[in-house]
Amino acid sequence: MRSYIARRIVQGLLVLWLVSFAVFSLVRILPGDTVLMQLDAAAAPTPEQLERARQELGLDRPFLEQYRAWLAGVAHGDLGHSLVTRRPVTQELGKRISLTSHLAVMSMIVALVIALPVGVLSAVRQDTPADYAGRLGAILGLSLPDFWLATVTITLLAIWFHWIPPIGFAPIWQDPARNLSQLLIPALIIGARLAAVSMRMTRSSLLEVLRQDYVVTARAKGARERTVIIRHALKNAFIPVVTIIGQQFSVLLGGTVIVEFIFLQPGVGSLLLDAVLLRDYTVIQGAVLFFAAVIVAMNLLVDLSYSWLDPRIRYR
Amino acid sequence: MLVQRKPVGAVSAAIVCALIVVAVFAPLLAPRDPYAFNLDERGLPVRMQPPSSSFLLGTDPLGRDVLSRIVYGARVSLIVGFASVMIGTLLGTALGLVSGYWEGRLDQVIQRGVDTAMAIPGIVLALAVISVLGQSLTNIVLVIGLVIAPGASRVVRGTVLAVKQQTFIDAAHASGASAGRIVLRHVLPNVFAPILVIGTVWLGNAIVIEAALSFLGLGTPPPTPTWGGMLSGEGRRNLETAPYLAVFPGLAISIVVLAFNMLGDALRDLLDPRLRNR
Amino acid sequence: MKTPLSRPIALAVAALVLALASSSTPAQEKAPKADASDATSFAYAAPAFIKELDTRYPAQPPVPPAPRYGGVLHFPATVRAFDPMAGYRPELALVWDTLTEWEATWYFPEVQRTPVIRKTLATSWEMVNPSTWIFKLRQGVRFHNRPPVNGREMTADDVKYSYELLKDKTQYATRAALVKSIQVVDKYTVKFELAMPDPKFYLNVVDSLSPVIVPREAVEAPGGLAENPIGTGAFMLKEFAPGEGALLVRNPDYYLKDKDGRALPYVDAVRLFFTKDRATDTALFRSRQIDLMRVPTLDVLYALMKTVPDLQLYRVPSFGWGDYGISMALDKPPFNDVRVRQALSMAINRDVIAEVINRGDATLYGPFPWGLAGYTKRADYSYANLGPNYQYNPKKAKELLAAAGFPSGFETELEWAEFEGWTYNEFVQLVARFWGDVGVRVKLKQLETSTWINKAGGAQPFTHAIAAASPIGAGPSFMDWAYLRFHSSYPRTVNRAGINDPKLDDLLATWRQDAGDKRPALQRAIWDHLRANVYRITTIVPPHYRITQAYVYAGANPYCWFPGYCSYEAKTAWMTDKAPSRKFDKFAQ
Repeated sequence: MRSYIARRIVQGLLVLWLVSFAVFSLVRILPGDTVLMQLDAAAAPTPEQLERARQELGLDRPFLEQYRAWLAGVAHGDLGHSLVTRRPVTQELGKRISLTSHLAVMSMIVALVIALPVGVLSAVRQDTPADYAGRLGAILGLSLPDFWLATVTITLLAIWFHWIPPIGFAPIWQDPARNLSQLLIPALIIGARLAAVSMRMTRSSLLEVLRQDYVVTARAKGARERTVIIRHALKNAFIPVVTIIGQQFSVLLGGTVIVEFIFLQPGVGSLLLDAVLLRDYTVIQGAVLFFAAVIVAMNLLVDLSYSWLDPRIRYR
Repeated sequence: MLVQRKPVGAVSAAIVCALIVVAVFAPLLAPRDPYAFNLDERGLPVRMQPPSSSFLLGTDPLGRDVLSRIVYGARVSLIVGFASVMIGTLLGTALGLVSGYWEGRLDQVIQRGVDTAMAIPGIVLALAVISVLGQSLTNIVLVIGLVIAPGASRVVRGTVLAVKQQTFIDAAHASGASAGRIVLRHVLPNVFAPILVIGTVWLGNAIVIEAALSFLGLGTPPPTPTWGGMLSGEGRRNLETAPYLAVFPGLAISIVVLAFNMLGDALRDLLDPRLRNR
Repeated sequence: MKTPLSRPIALAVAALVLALASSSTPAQEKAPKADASDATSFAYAAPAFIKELDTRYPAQPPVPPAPRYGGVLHFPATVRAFDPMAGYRPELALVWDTLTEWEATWYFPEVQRTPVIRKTLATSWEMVNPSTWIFKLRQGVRFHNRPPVNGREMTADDVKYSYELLKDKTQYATRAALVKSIQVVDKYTVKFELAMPDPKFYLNVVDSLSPVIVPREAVEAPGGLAENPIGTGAFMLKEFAPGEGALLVRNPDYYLKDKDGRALPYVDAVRLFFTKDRATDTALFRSRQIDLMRVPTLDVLYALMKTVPDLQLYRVPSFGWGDYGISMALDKPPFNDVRVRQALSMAINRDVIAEVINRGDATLYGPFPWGLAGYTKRADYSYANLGPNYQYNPKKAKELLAAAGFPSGFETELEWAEFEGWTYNEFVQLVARFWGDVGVRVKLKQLETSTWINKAGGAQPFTHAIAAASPIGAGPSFMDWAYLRFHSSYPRTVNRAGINDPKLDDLLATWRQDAGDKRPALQRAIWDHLRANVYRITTIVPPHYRITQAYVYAGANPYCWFPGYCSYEAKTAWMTDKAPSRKFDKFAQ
């Protein structure tokens, strides 16, 4: 087991390195650079002034030298400085990571709180109205684009209630009321998709498990239905659900990007969007590295949780 | 057969067929020219009219008939959906087959590549590809295909690994069949079912992704009418003053995605041998 | 296992794709059909509404005589770094002053002709000769009372230091480039030697595109100005939350007083929200979390006026910011032929453009601002004064194209992008339609926004034509709007249309060398020359709409409009007791 974890960590680091190189190259292929993007439309710089600004930011060095310098910094925990604000990227990311993590975790919790009970109910009461209602809800959750839902929500909230989520982030342990009022609605919107997918997976997976031999045996032995479900079926049914959550996590992170933008929540996603528009290379690299690290870690956690959920699965 | 066993699936299949008919016969079905600016007596475009008897779903900011644009929009949405899913699943299937059947070093390399691709946020990828190659329907199809491929390859690989355990594969081996033949005749047909199911779901997703790209300014360029462009462009910009501009394309997208998802469910129930006995 | 469905399904899919692919290529745009009888009522009667705005709003709503002190003013902004060295935003003017700035009166053409310059750090100026200027500084101005500067007095040394520090930064370079050297004459007097004579140099130092005055100690302290945001301004930066907003509090020692001798500013604090999305701004205004903002279109204004009926509106014809125009590649055919350019300009129906862009509430726009060509009344902004090249005449356009050698038109590409605040989307589709009607077949090419900024900014060439706003100046300065933009000696990042016209260069040189008396006539002559040559196609420019809640009184001024709300209006804005009570200990409240 331990050697498995070690191997996976090494592989994860390899993926992170590949991602960093890919992104480093990709952003430098994009036309335009940050020097012009940052300027006012009224400014009228000469090419020499632009070039000087580029030199100041170190953008005129050869590609590999830039990469080596950046990578060396990363090894020491220094992600470089933002090309726009000139502040350390770690500082730019810091507070925003807190917000995006809050949002992601809340979305997951919201999704599971909705999806699991509904999925179990739907499976246990298959082909009844409850089942159909659950499945319809799930499909609706899959069909509406979340950015559209976000725009409509914020507009309707303003029109009907003259209220929008407050601006100005506070972590949940500092100011729970503000935190919840700020993040709950975006979390609902982002979580809707994950809820839909998880619910469907829960349902189909539980349906399958309920037909398995050991469940039939338990029933034949006279165990109560509830015991059958909870003790025997659920744990095994959750394996594919965990897989789905793991897979959908990257989609979830992607969902935070646009919803953060619309609800004016300063998370890593909206930082990334801005940075791409402004061609702020160092911030893009830092933010993408963050996302990639989270996804890689998530995949590892998901795989490890398999062995906890199903004792038959053991890693060598 | 279908209608009896899975009424929901039948309905969704009907919707999909209707969609295809609308797309193919759009010029006959649309009441007006979707590109024409309809003018009033002053010679100015009849912009942003709410639904009325002359314009059943209203007019857009350039005075074009929304209903006609939605009818024509079905074409682009379907193309985006089908083409990108085909590209994605073909690419993904190829990768997954190779990865799963031969395993070993090749598998590791391909899987690390897939991991890398899945760890880069779709936005950065989309922005990069479209900024460099230019904004056009072809490139959007390409980007969405690239987004689908890694996921598809994982599914295929998983299925291939499962199939390989089956004894008939060993039997085929033992009887001297070549690797290629085994893949084609025994492995591939089993992959087909899960891919079909995933494909129908991805069809809906692709249409939604196109709308998201339009939201970011990377969508299909005008004047081509697409549901995503209408929703994220003039729909979103005028949400308070002319909500019908967003409602109708949004409904169209939702209904079609709904239909594809339900069709996928029905197909899976039909094709999955394990569930068949229900 | 093969299933019975798999083969037929595969075939069906393949057939479908083929069918779609063959039938799908969206056709070329067809000619517009006139559906006269279908003209049902508009969502609201726009022309009547515009007339109502014209009569109601030029005059400022009545202001109570004695301003009230206190309150926290909220408005939207975009500031990435509160640091003049890292970049410029108008909100920096809250913390750092320039030598002078625009006064925040309720300026409106015909009502009040000349915007007033507010003397902030400079109290008077004198032209020794057009290349030498003396500025006298205000005495007793103190920097913010915070370490490491601790409220010491600002002197001429600070002005010289600031200019030399900031003159090479791209954001200030254009303005600072006109200054060859600065000398300290005495503690409160500065002498500017200019790189070229300019009898209106005093316009150069107004507002924040010219270097702001910063203290050396703060720049050299660890963290620089970002960690030590100290200036002479009316507000002090209390909290900067990147991506969210900023909180600034009143500077109790600010030197400016209002006309009755009361200390400025009136409000206790200013809170900025870094919004990105228009829907968010409107939502914030409706929920009274934002007190003033700029509204992009008449439709949004109308919607807001319905839901917030007591809002106050400042509506002024744009000086020139925010216009819709097209740059063409002038160095190669077919755009190097003036007849082609005239034809393309005549092919466009500007009334339709105004209707689509802003429901008809827009002004015609020529080669540069009307005001700089000597037209001071709104009634002057007319087709008659622009001439035949700007009037809708597709027949003449076709004749010109034929004369230029394109009897059956030609093909071209028009590049554009989505850019917040502009509806280029609709604009280019209209242009494509109009040009198509005279035989010029347009391929619309949408660029990603940052790529477009690059091309429109002249850092990267565009192929044939690109839709973009006219290059702008920061104030009523002919130098900014015309000289820099049309003289061939300037690189493409400045002279973005790439104009190279010796006759024009002569006119501009004559203007530059003139001491000032003949300038109005010369400017008009240059205007006439540009009108005839149509180096850039310009169409219309919508007016500016700035709304405030009923409990806010704030002046406004069209010269500090671009690039955003004129933040130093916060210096003279005040709020009544009907304003929501707000705290200002920290940003997140």
